[in-house]
Amino acid sequence: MISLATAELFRLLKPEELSRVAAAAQERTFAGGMEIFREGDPGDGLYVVMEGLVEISGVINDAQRQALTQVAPGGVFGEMSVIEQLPRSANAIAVMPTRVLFISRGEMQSLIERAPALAAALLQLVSHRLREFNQHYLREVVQAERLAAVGRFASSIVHDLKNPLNIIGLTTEMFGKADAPLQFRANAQTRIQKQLVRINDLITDILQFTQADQVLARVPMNYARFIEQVTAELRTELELKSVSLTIGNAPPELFLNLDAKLLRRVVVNLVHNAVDVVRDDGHITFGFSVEAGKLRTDIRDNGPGIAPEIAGKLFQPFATHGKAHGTGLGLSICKKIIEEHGGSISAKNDPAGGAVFSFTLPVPVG
Amino acid sequence: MSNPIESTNGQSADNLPLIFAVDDEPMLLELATMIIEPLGFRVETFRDPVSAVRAFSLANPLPELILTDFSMHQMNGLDLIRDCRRIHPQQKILMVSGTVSENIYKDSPHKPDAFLAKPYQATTLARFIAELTGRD
Repeated sequence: MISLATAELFRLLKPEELSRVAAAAQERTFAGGMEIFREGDPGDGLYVVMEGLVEISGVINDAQRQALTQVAPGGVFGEMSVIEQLPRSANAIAVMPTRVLFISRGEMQSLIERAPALAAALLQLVSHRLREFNQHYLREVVQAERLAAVGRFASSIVHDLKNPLNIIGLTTEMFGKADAPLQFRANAQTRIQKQLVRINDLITDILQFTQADQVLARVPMNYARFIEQVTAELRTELELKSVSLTIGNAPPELFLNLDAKLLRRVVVNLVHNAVDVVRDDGHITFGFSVEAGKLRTDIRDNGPGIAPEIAGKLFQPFATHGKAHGTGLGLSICKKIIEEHGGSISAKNDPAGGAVFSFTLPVPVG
Repeated sequence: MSNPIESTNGQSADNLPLIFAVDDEPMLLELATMIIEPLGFRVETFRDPVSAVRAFSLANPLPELILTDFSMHQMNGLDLIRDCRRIHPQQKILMVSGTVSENIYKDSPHKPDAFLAKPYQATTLARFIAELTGRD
């Protein structure tokens, strides 16, 4: 059973001080669901819960209330009114049959004058409320940020799906026309397949991002052959976009333990990013070097370079900046795959212009 | 980048009315050209809106219609509309998009003459072009 002596605000008071509080307090009872005070009411005093439960809530709009906290027996609410003479900033409702002690603002102030311990306890209570509010606020902000990220993610996925769907739709529609050019018919299948690969890559990106650590299917592979295959595949696509792909120096004939499928995604993602930023006369150049047991691959473009505002968070998810394509996951997936291979990935601007994305892979000893 | 695709319908392409098509997706530009040319137009395609605006500022005669995507790299479709209308306020523009709806320009002073959601059908695009150019 709660008494004034065990209530959080009055715990440190001397017996004679407690008697003064008891004499000043008025007992009030409320049925479950009854309003104790509402936002805007005069802030005329504080309440100590003796029995039952009180919910404090804020008003978002006419139809919505947000519960802020619940006050159990021994707890205090409405204490702000003692400090500042302003209307109530929240609603208090009895959740169940509830008995409270009400102490008016005037009584509380004269009690505080005679019992300084009460002032300290009140300050502690307000400070505790502030901390609680901060934590609550931070949780809400994190949650809101997560939701915003999901929103951005959904929007970029939609864009990346609509274009290939549009291409597939138009191609099948034109294919069905009696007067469709022969050349178009011959290319239609490849065109559709390319878009299906694109949709599949997009879905793989999402899966890759949401999956926990995956097991790599690594096999020893000649890195020079790997680069030949990926660049050959990319060149066909790049020609259509009038972007050239050059190999600056031959990739070393070294056998590395690679998950070729995943590493292909890294190279393809980095090249696609470069294609998205280069404009007229786009060039992408591959360069290779080996040092300290690491094989380093540089992918250089002649685009505008990395914007300073994005440089620090380039490899974070959803960092997409001014791009028409992309889930915003590409570079974070690249980082994950390279790190799972025991390597590292970085990006910088070339003083001569453009950006350079580099990743290293460990060269097995012996 | 500007990739004028010449008319393949046997007529002298220079005499045909002109349409600008702007999209960062080259395959959609190619398909749009295949749909529009048989309607009796010459099509100039642009992979980025900046080149399109530059070409528009020098165009003589002006295109009868600009077909533009909304989400592109450096500027969006509404920026393109603003820049082109600054040069020629009566320019007819058809905006297409897979990411935004007509709401995007509800409060904008620069509105396209019509909006088409992606994925669109070839017949729908052809109908919009006929209506906007008045060449049924």
